[in-house]
Amino acid sequence: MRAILSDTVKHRYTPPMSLTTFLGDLNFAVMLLRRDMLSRYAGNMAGIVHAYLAPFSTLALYAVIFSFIFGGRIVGETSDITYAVYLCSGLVLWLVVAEVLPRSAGLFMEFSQILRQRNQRIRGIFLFLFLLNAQLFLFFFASLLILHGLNVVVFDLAGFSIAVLLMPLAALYLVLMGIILAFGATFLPDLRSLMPVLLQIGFWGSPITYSTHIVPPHWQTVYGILMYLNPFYAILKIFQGLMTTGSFPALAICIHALVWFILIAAVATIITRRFSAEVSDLV
Amino acid sequence: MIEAKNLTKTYPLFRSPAQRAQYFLSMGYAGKPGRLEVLRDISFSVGKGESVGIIGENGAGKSTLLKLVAGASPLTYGSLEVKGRVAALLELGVGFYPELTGRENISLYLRLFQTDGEQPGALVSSRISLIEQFAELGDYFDRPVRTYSTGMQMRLAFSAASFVEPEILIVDEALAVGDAYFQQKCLDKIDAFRKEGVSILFVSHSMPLVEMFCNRAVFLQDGQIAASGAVTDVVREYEQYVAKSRGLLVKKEGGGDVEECVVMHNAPSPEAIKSPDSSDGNDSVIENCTASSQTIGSVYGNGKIRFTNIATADEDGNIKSRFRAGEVIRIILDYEAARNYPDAVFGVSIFRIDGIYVTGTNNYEIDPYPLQVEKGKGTAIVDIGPMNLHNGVFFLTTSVYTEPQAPL
Repeated sequence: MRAILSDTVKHRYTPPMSLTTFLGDLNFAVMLLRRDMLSRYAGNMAGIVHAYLAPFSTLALYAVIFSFIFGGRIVGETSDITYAVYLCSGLVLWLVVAEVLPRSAGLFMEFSQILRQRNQRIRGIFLFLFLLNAQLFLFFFASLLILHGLNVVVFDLAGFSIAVLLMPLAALYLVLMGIILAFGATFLPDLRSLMPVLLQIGFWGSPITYSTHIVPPHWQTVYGILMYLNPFYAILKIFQGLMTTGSFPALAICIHALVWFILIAAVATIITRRFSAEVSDLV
Repeated sequence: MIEAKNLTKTYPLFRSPAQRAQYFLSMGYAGKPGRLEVLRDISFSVGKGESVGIIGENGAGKSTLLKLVAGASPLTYGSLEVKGRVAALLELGVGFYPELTGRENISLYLRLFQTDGEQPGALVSSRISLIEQFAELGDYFDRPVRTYSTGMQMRLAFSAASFVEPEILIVDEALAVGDAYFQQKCLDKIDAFRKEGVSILFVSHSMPLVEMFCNRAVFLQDGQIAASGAVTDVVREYEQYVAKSRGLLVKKEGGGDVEECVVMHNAPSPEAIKSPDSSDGNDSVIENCTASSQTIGSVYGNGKIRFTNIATADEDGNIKSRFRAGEVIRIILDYEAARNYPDAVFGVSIFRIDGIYVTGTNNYEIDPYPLQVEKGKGTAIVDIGPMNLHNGVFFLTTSVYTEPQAPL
């Protein structure tokens, strides 16, 4: 008995990346996205509108309430940015996180039928995740632009445009996190149940609804260290800086984001290479 | 087309969720799982246009083997080369999304089969109406798949797999859930594929079907190849194995208390199965078996009572093998007994060509008194009917036991 996996079989499961295979995967991912749109709200009268209604209403409610009812400036900030603008610039990232990461944790279960049918399509599934991220980002940016146009929240449009251009990188970052979660939840199903808890910790542990300035001075050091360990912190600060004042992020924040990006990408790559072949036997 | 060498497939067996987590967190270096070996050292090849039947009991590894070939599961050791477009009918419903309609599912399924570089949508647009026609689902084609019966799902799955121009067709017992009409339609399609030179890997528990469609067979037992070769030889070996494991072969217990039995299983010849085309469409054809002169299928037992001729006739005794609905079928069993048996039970069963049991009886069931068999030649007559069978080909299994209580 030969204790090796033959080259032929290896080829079947990890076809070499080329433009042709990428286009094939992309076509497959678009198909999955279409299926997702069709099936999630099949039978509903409003159909796909439901996919965007809840997140849009969240953004709109926050914007309206904190612009017109409570008003005010962000606590601790010296500039004159409003709380609503600050909140929305953070929420645009977090709403995508809250939608995509729990879904990623169940990704292989969701697509188990496809994994059992044609395992080599796993790359197409990851591409689907990217498209899902990207379309959510685009929707939220579009929603914010509408609110901007209605003068509910007023963003720095130059910075806003750069944030939109950075969107593919943010989407890729979330896909890489999603890949880790997808494999992780396959071996450790508890992760799926823990997702709401982790998201709560992530939401309140990140400066989305509050500014870092409100952290008491004697906690600042600890908070600073915790923020270095927070994979969302740097990317949030970049989005907030760009969309509120149009200011480019500080070098330290950029390095912080880059380190996390490389780390997440490395872990996702290793895990994918190590466990891809085993997934279809476990889902 | 398919070249498999020393295929071995094991599944991970984690003792606990903690071990599973440990395995993942250590990147597979710690908490290694035990392995459940479901296939071991399987080597076989399937050439272009060949049809190979995979047979064996439940749990023998048939479905796993097909999954490996279909690319639905990675193999653990060995090598496997599959050249050509594979269409696989594996577990029922795999690949279908319940909330989507049949049409939407087919569209997605076909896109899944688009080869890299193929013009997007080309395959879909050219095939979808053909699939709709073949599946004959009517309005259901545009209804969610969750509203389908299992038979309807099978129709959709088989139709989809049939119209992706497969070079290799893999069928895993999926036809069992369909109605007789569509089963026949599927069988005709498979037969057409065979004639077109499509390679077929066929798993079925129906030996007549395997014999009909396959020229070679592989008999799997506990994940290993128990027999491989010409389909007739392998099927016979499998049937003998099944008979033995069910205790239908002779058993000698204790000193002199001997339980004896003879079981005859006569499968139809492929030629006979294809004969209904020549009928006027209203007849049921019982494939007539002459066990002594022409062994079709398998014969088991110790041979103490041996059928020398089996014939079917009408109520008046006119020998015939084609019956109309409502007729009584008389089965004439000529036998030769090695000695006197005071309490013999003769039984006959009628099966569809796909091996599904239709009906059967025995003399003990009709009249619970022993039937004496004297040494030498004799004839037993069993009447069944009036039979209201749908038109088609059926075959008989005949048996004789020497104990009324013995299992038939």
